[in-house]
Order: sequence, then C-alpha cells, then structure tokens
Amino acid sequence: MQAQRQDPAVESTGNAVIKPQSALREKCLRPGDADEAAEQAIANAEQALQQLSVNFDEWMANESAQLGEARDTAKAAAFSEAALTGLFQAAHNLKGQATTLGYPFADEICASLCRLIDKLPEKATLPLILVDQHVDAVRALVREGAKGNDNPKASVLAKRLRDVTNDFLQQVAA
Amino acid sequence: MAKIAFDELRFVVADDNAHMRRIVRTLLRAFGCREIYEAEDGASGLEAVEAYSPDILISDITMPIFDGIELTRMIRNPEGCRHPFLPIIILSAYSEKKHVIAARDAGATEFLCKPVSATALYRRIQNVIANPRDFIRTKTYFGPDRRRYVNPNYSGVERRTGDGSENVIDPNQVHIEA
Repeated sequence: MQAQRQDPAVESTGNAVIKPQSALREKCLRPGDADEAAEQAIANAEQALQQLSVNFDEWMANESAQLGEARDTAKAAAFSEAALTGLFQAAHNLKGQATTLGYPFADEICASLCRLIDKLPEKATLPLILVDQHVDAVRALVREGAKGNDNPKASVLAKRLRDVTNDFLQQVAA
Repeated sequence: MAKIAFDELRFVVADDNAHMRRIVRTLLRAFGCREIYEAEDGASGLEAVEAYSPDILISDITMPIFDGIELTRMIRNPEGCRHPFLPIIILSAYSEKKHVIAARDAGATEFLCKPVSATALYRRIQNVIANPRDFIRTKTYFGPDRRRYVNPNYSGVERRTGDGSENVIDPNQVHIEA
C-alpha cells in the first residue's frame, strides 16, 4: 500500500514543523477527574497483575530453562557469534521481565551477564566459568524460589557476580 | 486534565516474548482497553499497524526479522506507511543512553524501561494523548520534536525559525492517500 503526503511547501524548502493532531485527544479524553481516574486504573492494573502472578513461577522456570539451553548451545558452538547472540537475547529477555515476575536479583544477574557479553571486545576470551556462574545462579534462584528484594543469599550472589564481572572487564580494558 | 476513555483506544503490542505481551495486555485491559492486537516480531508489528490502524503502538526493541527501532523508522516514513504520526512507546530492557537516543532518533514518542509497572505505562500513555508534541520533518528525520525543553540560554543558530527554512503545517492539510 503506497502512502503519499501532499505538502508541497515542505518539499520545496525542507524543514517543517507539523502541529500535533488533536484527533486522539478528541477521541478518548472525557470530562472528569484525571488524577482519580489514573489512580483507579493503576489500582485495577496492579490487581490484575497480582491475579496473573499465579503463572509467574512457571514462566520464570521456562525462561531460566531457555537461558540454560542458550548457554549450552553457545558452549557447543564455541561461543560463535550467532550462539552468543542467542545467549545474550535469552539473558536480555529475563532481564526485562524477572523483576515483574518477582525475581529482582535474577534481573540483576542477567544484567551482569548481558554486560559481560556486550562489553567484552574479544568474544573468544569470554570466561566460560563466569558465564556458567551467572546462568547457574539464575537457575538456582528460580529453583529455590528466591523472590523479592530481601533475600540475603540472592543479594550477596548478585553483588558478587556483578563485582567479579566488573573487575574482569576492567582487567581486559587495561 | 481530562480522564482517558481507554475503551475508545486500539493498541498494537509488539514483543517477541509471549510472557511480556501477556503482561502488557493484562495492564491495558485493566486500564479499560478492549482492542489490543499482538505481534511477535517487527514485520508482523508493521502488518498489524497497517491492518488495524491502532491509536498507539507499544513495541519492544529486540525482536526477530526487524527490531523495534527499524519498525519505528518504517512507520515514520510517510512514503511507506499510512500512519506516520502514530504514537510509539518503546518498551525495552535496554536502559543505556545509546538505546534511548537510537529510539528517539528513529522517531519514538516515548521510551519506557522494563521492568514495566502499571504506573509508568499509564503515565506514558497519558502523556502521548494529552501532550502530543509537534512533528518535525527534515531531510534526515521525521517524527516527534526531539527537543523536550526550551533552553532559555541557547544562543546558537535557530534552525527552525526566522530564515524562511521553517514551515508550520496544519496536520489537517497533510493528506495521506492509500
């Protein structure tokens, strides 16, 4: 389907400022107390998310299993570019949703793994043991049901992995 | 500010992760939205935009076929997409500045970092509806004005005013033909 804009003034002189369309405002803004409506809508959404959370442990188990599979694939492929991309994406996926699913420390560990993969200039030097430690830590947290922000063991584990990763990346950069 | 009638709004949610799509859909439904279409990659996201003419697109960055940045660029191409003014909220686990800038320069309207919360998503939607920004068209960019703030101390060349290079256009006079 071909779209065509008829704005000859712009075509002739280049830059243009186009005033915002009001159609969306007119379509969905209604008289009423915006703050009260927002408060109610957000409360409804948080309640809906709470109801959905009965699925979260199963989802986390699936996602962490996929992370483990991506790690195994990457190892078998000697950390080829394609396999590393798969591992990065699996970790990145978990980073994006682990906190919502109730596992904020898994989020932190995946963020550390993503940084390790992303920041290392020479991927062949990726330390296998450190990759394993990240992936196994995430799987352990899920297996043990280490949820929330106040799990001391999960906190120490996430911090230690982050520190080791940072130290390693600094050594490589030096 | 008025309240939002979510039941009047149509969304497309593009994310390769089914769990994340389910979470976003759950939040939108709880806000009151009834029409939500899902896409699991950039190509089907573009198809959904063309097919359903949504009011707002919520898109991840990392997706197969083409990513959310490329999807945004394609939508912001008035010659190739029928909905170049579509509000686009990028929802991504990438929080680094380079990704935020890439999304902005592709023409994204808002950027929201995962993990997603009901409050943050609501506020982004509220903002794109209640505070739509001017669109800018240059030789290299088409999309919402990337200048969020006016710097009163700016003393450089003003490229958009005063030298005849600027045209302020009423969007009602911009016709897009299928």
